[in-house]
Amino acid sequence: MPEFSQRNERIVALFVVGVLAFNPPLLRVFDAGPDVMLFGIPLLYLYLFLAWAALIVCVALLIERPKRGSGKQEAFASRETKIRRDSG
Amino acid sequence: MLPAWLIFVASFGYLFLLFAIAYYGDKRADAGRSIIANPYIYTLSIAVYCTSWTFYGSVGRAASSGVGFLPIYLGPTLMFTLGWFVLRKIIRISKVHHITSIADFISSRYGKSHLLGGMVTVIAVIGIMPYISLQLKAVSTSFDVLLYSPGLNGTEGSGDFLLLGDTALFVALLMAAFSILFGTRHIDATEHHEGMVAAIAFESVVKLLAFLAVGIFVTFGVFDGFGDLFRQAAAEPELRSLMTMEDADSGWVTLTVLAMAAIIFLPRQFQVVVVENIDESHLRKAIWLFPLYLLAINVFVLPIAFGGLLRFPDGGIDADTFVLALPMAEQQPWLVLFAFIGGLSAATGMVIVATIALSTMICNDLVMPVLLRFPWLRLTERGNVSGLLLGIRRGAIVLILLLGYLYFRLIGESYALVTIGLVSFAAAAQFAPAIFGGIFWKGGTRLGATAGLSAGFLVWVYTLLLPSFARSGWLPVEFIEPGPFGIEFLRPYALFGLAGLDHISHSLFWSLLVNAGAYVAVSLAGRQNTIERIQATVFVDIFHQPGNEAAARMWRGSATVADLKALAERFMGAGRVHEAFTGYARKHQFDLDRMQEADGELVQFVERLLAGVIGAASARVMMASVVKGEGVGLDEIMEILDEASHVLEYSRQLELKSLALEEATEELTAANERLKELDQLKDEFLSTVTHELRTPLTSIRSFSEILHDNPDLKMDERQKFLLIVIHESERLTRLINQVLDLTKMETGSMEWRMAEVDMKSVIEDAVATLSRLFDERNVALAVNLPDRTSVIRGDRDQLMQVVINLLSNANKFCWPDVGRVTVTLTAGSEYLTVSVSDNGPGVALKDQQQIFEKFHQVLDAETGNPMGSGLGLTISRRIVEHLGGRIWVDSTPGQGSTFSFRIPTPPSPVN
Repeated sequence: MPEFSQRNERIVALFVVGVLAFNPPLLRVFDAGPDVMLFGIPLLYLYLFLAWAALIVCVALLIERPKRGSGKQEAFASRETKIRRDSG
Repeated sequence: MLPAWLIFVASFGYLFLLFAIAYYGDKRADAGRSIIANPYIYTLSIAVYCTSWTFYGSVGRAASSGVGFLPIYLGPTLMFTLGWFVLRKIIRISKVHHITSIADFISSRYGKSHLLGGMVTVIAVIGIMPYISLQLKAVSTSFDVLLYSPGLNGTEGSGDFLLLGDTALFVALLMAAFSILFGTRHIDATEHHEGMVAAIAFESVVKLLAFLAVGIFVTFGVFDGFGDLFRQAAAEPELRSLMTMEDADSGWVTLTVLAMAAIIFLPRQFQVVVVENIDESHLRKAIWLFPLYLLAINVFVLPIAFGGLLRFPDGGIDADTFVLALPMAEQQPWLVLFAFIGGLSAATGMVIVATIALSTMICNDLVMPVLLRFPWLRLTERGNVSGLLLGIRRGAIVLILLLGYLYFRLIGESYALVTIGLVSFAAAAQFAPAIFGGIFWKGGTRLGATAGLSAGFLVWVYTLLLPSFARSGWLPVEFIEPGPFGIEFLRPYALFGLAGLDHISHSLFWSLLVNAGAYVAVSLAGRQNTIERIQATVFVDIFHQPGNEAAARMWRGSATVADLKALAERFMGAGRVHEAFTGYARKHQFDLDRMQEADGELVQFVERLLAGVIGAASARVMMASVVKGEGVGLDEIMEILDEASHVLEYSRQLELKSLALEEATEELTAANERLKELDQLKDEFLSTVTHELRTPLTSIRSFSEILHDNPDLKMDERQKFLLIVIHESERLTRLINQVLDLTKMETGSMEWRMAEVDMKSVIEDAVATLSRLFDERNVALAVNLPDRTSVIRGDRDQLMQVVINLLSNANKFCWPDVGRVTVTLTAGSEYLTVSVSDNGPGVALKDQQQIFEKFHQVLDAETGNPMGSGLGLTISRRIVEHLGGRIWVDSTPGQGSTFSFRIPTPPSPVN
């Protein structure tokens, strides 16, 4: 796995963000009670589902970005573009 | 509202449809055109995670704790975020080793241990029992709600239709039959159940659509959108707390952790995520699609819960049945039917996969190992065993469902759905230390895993399972309060006085603590045997291995192709074995018919093939019955490897040693040459010394002879000769002293009398001593000394000798009468420098270094005779260098020379 290192770090970071977002200290921040509503939905509910959706979107973007192919190709491709940028 | 017959027709029709899909899926798979080989079907099959618990139970949980149902879905989302590390690794390992279940995985990791495999199976079966009972309860309740709820139904008493009277038992038996038809139609080499996966995926679509339909109907049909719904709910004082974390807080973290573990370690999840995975790359999509599915199926949980609470404010309707009750109350028969089918699909999906996974485990890891142990069954020699395997699995399915039914009858009726399910989650979490440890840490041992699992399981039984029996009246209720035998310390819900946690968190804390603790401690205390070590490396380093080719090449047993084929056929049937073998032959390009002896790779291939059917541990035993000679002999392979590594190590050491030897030889050669040189020098030295000694001796002797032979010599002649004899004797003594001094200095045995020495007085004394010599040859001697005393640390006598040597040399080399010698003392900040200049012939450039060597004698430019002993300067240099100084000569031939030496002054000025 080490060939993916940067993406791996991002995945772990996302995981940590998820753990933080879905657990009490941060949840309490959004736990504003039944009277605080946004678009007619209690803030706590809205936060939970939107944060959830955002996490899924981030994971999808991260995982799906290199269409097919291994990390080596990915690294190679990025190096190639870099070289091109450098030379151009 | 709905006639009973319609419900049954719809149920059976749905099940029949499922079966048709499964049948079609299997057919396509056999034809090699799989319909499930895409990431979307794979994702939908993972959604078997959403059972009746999700379909009915989430709403019930939401009605009592607000968002408290969400951790069960956030946990898997988080775990799937890490899926690229964790799941991919488990999938890769399982593919390489043909793992068939979670029990197989753990047993394989810890040295293909039968004991561990059996233990995991037992834990899984007992642990999943409540979960299955949950499904039975949900389905039978949903039947009952449809048929007997007078307040909702309107038409009363249609339940007479039910002949058995016990819905749950009926459902259990029906599901058993269904699972048997699905999962155990034949024994497959790859242990993929493509038809089942197709059906599960279809069920996931059905339950999602059904739930969304109910949710949309409640939100937009009964109420006027989310805003209206939540506004009405917020107006009810008792519902307001559901919109906060107040009721959800307790156990939030625990539930998240439990769900994270459950999404991999529940046997059915392991089955669909790992075992049924066709292509590792499908995981890429599933990693985000599956959480998306969870999100979608949860969006309407809260609206349905609030809708139910608002619609049935008196609490007469169980919140677990809101999904059905709401459309019923709104007189929507088709929606009710759809919701019912959705609930049925959620339950059947779970039961089918769970029973198939568990029955595989019971067969491969519990029953087969035991059967293989009885020699009188002659199982290793019998003909076709695949019938026996199927029989065991079918029996296991019935047994599992009956156990689930039993638990439901004993316990389940008094609990809510989610509470029952969580008990199972806590059991599945016990696998976490052994598996996470197993794939990321090579040090975990079989004993460690055994200790951890059994300890964790026992704590789980004590803190969750037994109390649930006690609460249902099957154990004395005193067991819970005040504790067994009245010992408060051992209260199962507050073990060792740990109170204040909810039951699940409490149990999870203690069980995982002892589980992980025992696993790590016992692993660290013990040692791994050979096969454990191999498996540990193979599992942990799965991404860094070329494969098992090395081990296969090392294999030295012998087996015929025919034997291997016959063995495989007994478990898998001739057709599938033939397919597998020809496929293998095509891939490796050899002719099976002509090949007699199997090579190591083929043996491994067959072992993996068998492992796919009966598990790794049993496959090993079976292979041993066919392979002749030393057998698969992992120990032997290891020995060979060890030997090889020893040999390598030896040769490496040898190389090192020979290198060292070469170096030593070179050093020796150098030393030898140096010795030779020294020897030569010694010879020269000796010959010089002898020569030097002989010259005065000869002279003494000849003059003594003259004196002896001529008694009538004149008195002044006699005096003159005697003086020569005395001089020569003195010279001889001096020479001998010098040789002795030099030897002493060279061997380090010279005694130095170190003291503070005033260089000025040394020079004055030396000059006084030599003044007569200078006078004799009429050489002028000038002395330049500073006024102050110049103190250094040294040996006064030796320093005196240096000065005398230099002065007498200068005197010796000066021409008489015109010679001028100057001795100068300069006191610098760091050094005292003494220079002796003369106006003699000087020293040739080539000689300037060598004159300090032993016996380097400068020949008299005129007579060609040596002019000194050749030791004076050598001794001077030794003395000066010993005192930390330096001696040198500056000279221009023909214009005299200056010999100088300097001695460092002590750091703090003494004067």
